[in-house]
Amino acid sequence: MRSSFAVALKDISCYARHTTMVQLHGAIFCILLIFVQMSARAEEHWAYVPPVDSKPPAGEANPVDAYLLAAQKKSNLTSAPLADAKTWVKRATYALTGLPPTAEQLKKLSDNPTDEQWRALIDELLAQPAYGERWARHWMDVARYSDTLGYNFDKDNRYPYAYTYRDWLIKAFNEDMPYPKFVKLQLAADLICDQKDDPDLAALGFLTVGRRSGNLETNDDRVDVITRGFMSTTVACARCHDHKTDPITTEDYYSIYSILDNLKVPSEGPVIGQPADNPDYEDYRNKLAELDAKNSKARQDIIDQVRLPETSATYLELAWLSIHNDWDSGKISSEAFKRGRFRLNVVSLWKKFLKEHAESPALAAWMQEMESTPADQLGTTALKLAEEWANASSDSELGKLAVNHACPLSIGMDRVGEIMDQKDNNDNNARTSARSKLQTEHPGSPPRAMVVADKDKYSSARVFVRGNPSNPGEPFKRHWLSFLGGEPFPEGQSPRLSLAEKIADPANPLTSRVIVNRVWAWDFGHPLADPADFGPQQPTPPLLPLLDWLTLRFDESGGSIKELQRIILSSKAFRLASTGPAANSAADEANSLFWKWSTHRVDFEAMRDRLLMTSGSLDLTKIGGRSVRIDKKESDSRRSVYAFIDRYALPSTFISFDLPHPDQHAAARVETTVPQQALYFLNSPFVIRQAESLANAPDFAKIQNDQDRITWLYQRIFEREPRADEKQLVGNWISTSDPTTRWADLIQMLWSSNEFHYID
Amino acid sequence: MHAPTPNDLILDRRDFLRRCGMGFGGLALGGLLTRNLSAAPVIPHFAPKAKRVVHLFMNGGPSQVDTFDPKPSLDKYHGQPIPLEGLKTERPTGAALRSPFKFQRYGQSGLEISELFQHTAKHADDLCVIRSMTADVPNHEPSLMLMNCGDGRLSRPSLGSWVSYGLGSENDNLPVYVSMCPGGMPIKRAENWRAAFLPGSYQGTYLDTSIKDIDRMIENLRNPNADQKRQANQLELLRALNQQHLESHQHDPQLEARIRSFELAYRMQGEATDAFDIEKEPTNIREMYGEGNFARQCIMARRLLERGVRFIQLWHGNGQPWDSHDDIEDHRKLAAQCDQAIGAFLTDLKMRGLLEETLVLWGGEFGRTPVVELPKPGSNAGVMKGRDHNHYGFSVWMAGGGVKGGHVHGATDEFGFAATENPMHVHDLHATILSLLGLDHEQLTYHYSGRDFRLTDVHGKVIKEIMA
Repeated sequence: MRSSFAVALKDISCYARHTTMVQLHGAIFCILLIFVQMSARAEEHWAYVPPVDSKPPAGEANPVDAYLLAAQKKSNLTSAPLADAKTWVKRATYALTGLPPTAEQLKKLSDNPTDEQWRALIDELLAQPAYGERWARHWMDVARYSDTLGYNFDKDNRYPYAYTYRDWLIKAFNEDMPYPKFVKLQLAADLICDQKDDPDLAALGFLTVGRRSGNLETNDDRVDVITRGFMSTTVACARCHDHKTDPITTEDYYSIYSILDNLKVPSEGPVIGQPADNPDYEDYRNKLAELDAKNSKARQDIIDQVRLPETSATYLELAWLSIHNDWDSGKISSEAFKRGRFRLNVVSLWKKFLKEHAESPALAAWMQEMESTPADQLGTTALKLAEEWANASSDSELGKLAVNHACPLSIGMDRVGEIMDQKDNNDNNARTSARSKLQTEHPGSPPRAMVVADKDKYSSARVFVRGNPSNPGEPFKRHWLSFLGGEPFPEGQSPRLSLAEKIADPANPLTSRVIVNRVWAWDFGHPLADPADFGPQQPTPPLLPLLDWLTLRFDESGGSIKELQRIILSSKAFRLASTGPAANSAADEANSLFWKWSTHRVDFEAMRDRLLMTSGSLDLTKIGGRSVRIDKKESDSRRSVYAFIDRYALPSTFISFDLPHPDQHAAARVETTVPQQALYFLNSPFVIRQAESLANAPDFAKIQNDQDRITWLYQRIFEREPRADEKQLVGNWISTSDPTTRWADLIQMLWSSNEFHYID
Repeated sequence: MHAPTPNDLILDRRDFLRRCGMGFGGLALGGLLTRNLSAAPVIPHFAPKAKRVVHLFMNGGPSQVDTFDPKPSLDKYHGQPIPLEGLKTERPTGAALRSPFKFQRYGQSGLEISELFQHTAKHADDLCVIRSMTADVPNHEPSLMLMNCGDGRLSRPSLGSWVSYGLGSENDNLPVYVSMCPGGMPIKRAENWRAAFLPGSYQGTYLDTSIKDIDRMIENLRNPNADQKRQANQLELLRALNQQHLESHQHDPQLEARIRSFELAYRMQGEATDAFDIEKEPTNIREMYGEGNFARQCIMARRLLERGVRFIQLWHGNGQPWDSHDDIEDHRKLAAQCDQAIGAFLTDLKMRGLLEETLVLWGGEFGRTPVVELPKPGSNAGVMKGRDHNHYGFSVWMAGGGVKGGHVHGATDEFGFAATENPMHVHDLHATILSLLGLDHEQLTYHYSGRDFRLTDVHGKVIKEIMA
């Protein structure tokens, strides 16, 4: 419970930590108080103790309804009556598949509005591939999915293979992958799967589709998505100091951070599809080989320049001069530049190497010779050494020096990056972009998983004091979250796998509750508990007994989300009317006790899919595959889940329609209403061309009678018959509107209307 | 920010919607008690001096010693190393490089400004020049993010988004926050005006002002059928359909809000088109501003300000135009592209009595080094006539909106390298701007991911010395 005293205390403590010694004594007192409060809180906080089982109260057959009834009774609420059967159907299809219902589905249930029929419908929808597509998108909010890495200066910033993560999500939801497995694969598939081309490796996209912005920030992003994503816990707040309100320490943060810091991401993930089946694969392979050859040559040229005597001589001369005249890097740069395309880093390495090995006989002799050589002949003397060096046998003095790691002559293809200058890097970037473009766009490019692996040797965990990496603390044994036990991760197993196991462990009081709550929220439109933060700032949810009951049943089912859906959706609560007794508004206007259905707007994806479904453009048969730019009309057949998401340049359409910005995890979407959304419906090429397409659809065009046409459109777009007054209103409008454009214009307005956007 | 009580919500519904500038969206009025209230903007904490902001953004980093911070010592030391230690720069730098531009005193205040900004200089007595600005790193991206979003690395909402959130819109028919850049975008593109975790409605609306066709500038502003009667006819039907739906749904405020959004959209088409139509300006005004994209932007901005747009950014151009690594003489051409327009803009605002309540801010993401940049293959042209980045000390100026005119705040060292007197960090600038707008930078918060966030995070102090 967050009393205002606790708030004030927290504010003082917060402030104190950021001010001077003068207030330190007050701060210490306050910190101690906070400590006492925090440790007291940790034990009793509802989300940190295991779910408490209970017998569903009497009064309703479905436990969901039973718990709700009990809570409503306590607040003197009476629940709304059931809505009509057609409304149930719409809610179910939008919740489960994100698509409008079919006429058959509507008829079946309105003819026979029984619980049995209802459950049959739920099963039918859970079995459709469209279910996986819908629910993958929900999880993509959690996983901050994007098809680009973010800002990448002028380089191609796309993730050619982010889509394989989405494909995996669709499959996981459709197969009803047990949740613990779902969790573990996303954290450690590489440590769990045996086959190196196992399609489940794509699950690691959870870690790798995030924003990349330097090692530190990339790791931080991953700490955040893991802890908020799976446990609604704000561990990322403890990056620079212990958490201000929750019992989370910087050691907790850096335990996880240090695991991520020990990841290596291979430049190319494993192929997980069947490339040989693809007729374009051969062409792709050839083009890739061409690019790789170019890249190798460019790098080899750099190495050759270092090693070939003629140019090596220049480097040696410059190095000698830099030692003799004590040049700084600025001077070296400009002198090297005067000679042509000579690289600062090579000269600097030579300078260092020659100084370190000044005693070595051959070098000592040479350096002495250079001392007595006239300035205009230094080059010749340097050339002598360079030639000698090039011809030296491996067991000679020079030969041994040549393979010394610090000697520029030892640098091979794997280390050429050490000596590349800005221009080399620019050229390299262009080549990398070309490769990325090929991988992303060529139809023959096979799917790859965006995997990670552990480094060969794990470095120890250290806290960065005040979050500053230049200020590392002492090594400590990385451990599980302190407030959930804090056990050190065991030896003999990857700490990452241990972390995954701890998160997925049913004994973890958070993980299952969090997903159960998410599923509820995605079904109902609002949650049982605030999904953003299950820490002590969130007081005990009024419906905790229900949440706990669902969580325990979820665990017992082995983490079956589909089973959870069945329990939730089969309830009466899901089928209540959207208006109830007026008296309820005083006690619970926000409907936090679910005494009615809360009308809410469909999200962007469901909205666009509905439009395309009703226009006849949507192709439901192609499941999975690469992302597409949905502003292009070629994409009008694709479900919105397949939209190309560029976190660096998120199209304004997405922003206007509340797609959460994928720079970070989103616990829930906001719902805003802004004129830009209306402009989209009034003026966007997309809506207009789809309206024209529907108006010209053969099935529609062949209908002669205006009233019949209106009826057809209502059935198509709103899944119902128009009322008499609607027929009249629309009929009048049609007869007074321009014949050449009125049907498309009408369709456009039907799509713009509130009924199209709000689920009753 | 206290948790709202029911009393906070007893308002005329229309009034509430209006005050929230439509940004709060479809929250059912009663549902606000338990929904996430962080989406509801606040009214000013105290009496504002400014009501709106224009940020003239000289992207790339204009050099202070060539514009607003004269350094005679550079003449003395030209070609010699300067006796300053420990100021690491992004690229190798060398000896002092004197300014090729002459400085002069202007106005009653005697403010010294270089020949590059003579038109701006006519308003010297209105300018508050801050010579002691500091940022964190001498690189464009983190500095742009810091100047615009208060954090160099993390994804945070922009200053304009915070202001829009804080004050809402004075005119729902136009976007509340507009970011104009001719011919492309600055480095980091839309991140400079991002809303991040604030609702997307607070994101800046980007306009490419090199596009002459006005209604192509805002996405979907233009009706492809270009037939107003036809659209009006459509909207009449829509209104009727929505009205019926509304009546059968207990006049749900969400539905009303959406109905209203169509009316706003319709008006936005007309009003935005009108606002951007600088052809409507009399010839003498257009001549006062001069030619070119920046002039056009400034005129547009003035029209938008008159119509209640809250926050406008005017970028100099695509990429990083002011980034004169190679030749500081390039500043001459750059200043010529904007000085006349800026001078005219200030004159225009004054004429219309707008300057008092409009805070104008000029500057870039950092400044430049008083020492010359050395050749670096692949990075620069290899000549020695330009300046590298400098975050240790740089200049911005403000005018209007409650700042002291004809005033200099702070100073850099003898060479114009680092701020030495009254250093003002970007966080302080932000705190001060918010304060001028009547917002307490510590109280303008948004709850996200377990804590309250603010533009200045845990930094920033209001610098009262620059306030009139």
